[in-house]
Amino acid sequence: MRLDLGNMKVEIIEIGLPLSMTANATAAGGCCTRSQRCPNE
Amino acid sequence: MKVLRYNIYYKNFVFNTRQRSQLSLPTHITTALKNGNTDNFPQKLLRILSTTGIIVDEEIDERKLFRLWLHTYQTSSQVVSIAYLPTYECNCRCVYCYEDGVRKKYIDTSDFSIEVANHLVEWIKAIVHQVRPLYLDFAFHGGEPLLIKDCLLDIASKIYSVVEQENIIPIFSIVTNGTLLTWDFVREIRKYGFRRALVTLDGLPSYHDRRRPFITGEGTFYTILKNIKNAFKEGLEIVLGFNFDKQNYHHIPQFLDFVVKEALNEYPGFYMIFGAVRRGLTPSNKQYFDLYEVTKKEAAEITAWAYEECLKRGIRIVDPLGMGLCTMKRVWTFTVDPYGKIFKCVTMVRHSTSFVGTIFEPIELIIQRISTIIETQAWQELQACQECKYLPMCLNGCNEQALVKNAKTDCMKEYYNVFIPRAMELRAQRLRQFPDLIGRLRERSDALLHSYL
Repeated sequence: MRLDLGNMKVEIIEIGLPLSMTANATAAGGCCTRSQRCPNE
Repeated sequence: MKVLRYNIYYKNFVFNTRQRSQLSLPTHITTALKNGNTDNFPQKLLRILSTTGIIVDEEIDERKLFRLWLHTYQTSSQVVSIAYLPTYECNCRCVYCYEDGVRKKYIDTSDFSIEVANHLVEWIKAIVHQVRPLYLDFAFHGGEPLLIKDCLLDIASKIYSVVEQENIIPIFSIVTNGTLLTWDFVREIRKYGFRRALVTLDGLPSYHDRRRPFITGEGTFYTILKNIKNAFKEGLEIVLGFNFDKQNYHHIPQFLDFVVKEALNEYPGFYMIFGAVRRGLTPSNKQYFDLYEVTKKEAAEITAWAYEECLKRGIRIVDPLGMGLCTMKRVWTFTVDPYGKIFKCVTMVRHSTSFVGTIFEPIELIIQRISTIIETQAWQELQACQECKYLPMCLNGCNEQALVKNAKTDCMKEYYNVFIPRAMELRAQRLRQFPDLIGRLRERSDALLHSYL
């Protein structure tokens, strides 16, 4: 997502979540550092 | 303003390991950030960098901020996650199964119990009454959960009633080998809020059927493929896992060509995900891992390469840097086995380190035991971890893998050093290729940036 700040362009690839969470570590497993898998869309 | 230690720079990207945020910036800005110099940055840019957690005000103590973030994340009850293993039994015998040892050691006959399943529903009700989550993240796991299809539908309908009555958003999924994921079952389970299945193919039949056969030794590939295609028709999202090691990783491009030939990638709810096979705590096939397990560095290289190969072919991938905090490090996550025993991780079922009680006990007792696990993580005492820029993502890595190696931690530095830069590029590429993903990002960005841009 591109933002035009006048004299420069910034692209936000991911904004992240400051102090909240979504379900991107899901019970469906694979959320972890063990397998580096995360069905998180 | 001050630049944070948890930033990773690569080309014109900056990625923050705490917030998982990522920006693409002009080169002179990334250079200035690397040098810790934000003096001449325009106000709007400073706002974006603050919102994404890349910079903070001078007076902010970064360690305190990290602690607050971690504490909030760990104790958040916005999402309650439950993985339910209705049975340890499985109709397949995958060569690297981490549960095979558990099955051989503990399970003699059919272990599914409708009484336990019904009690689980009551237990879930009690939890949601107590903590009032926004989301219930529930997964049927196993063993192979679809071995008890009819009962599964009954349990699914009851759990769906709970979320409907309590006005909770369901995030329901199934982790299955895919052999029993027939269209009639999918059609039924879709009625109860189940949106996604995680299915695995380890390559074309010449590889997959050797690695993930039926108990009889017969191949499973074509049964799974047929079921995936039928599941699409019922609107089920399929996250297709590919578990790799030295035996099959070189075969990935050939498999992805097949995915395209079969037009699986044309379905918008189809995603690929790759994971390196790891030795578990109770392996029944030790020689296999001696021969084929890859190192962390190899795992990082292969995973990044596999995702690159997917994007080249127009195949959707999951967010390669979207990993959440692992279940061992969060309070409101539970893995419930067929006997109603509760563990903190699916890969550590039946292991005392991960055991926190049963669904027949008061929730308070379970939470007390969870506090011991959460508060005794090794990174808290290790200086190297405290100073590491990967700490928010790693938090001493996988507890199970640390136990397997008889080590204090499962340090992920070797992995992240290789993987993160390439994943940053993949993330950007993925957004460009699949613009519908930008819509969701825009909604969240607008909400966070709206007030000052």
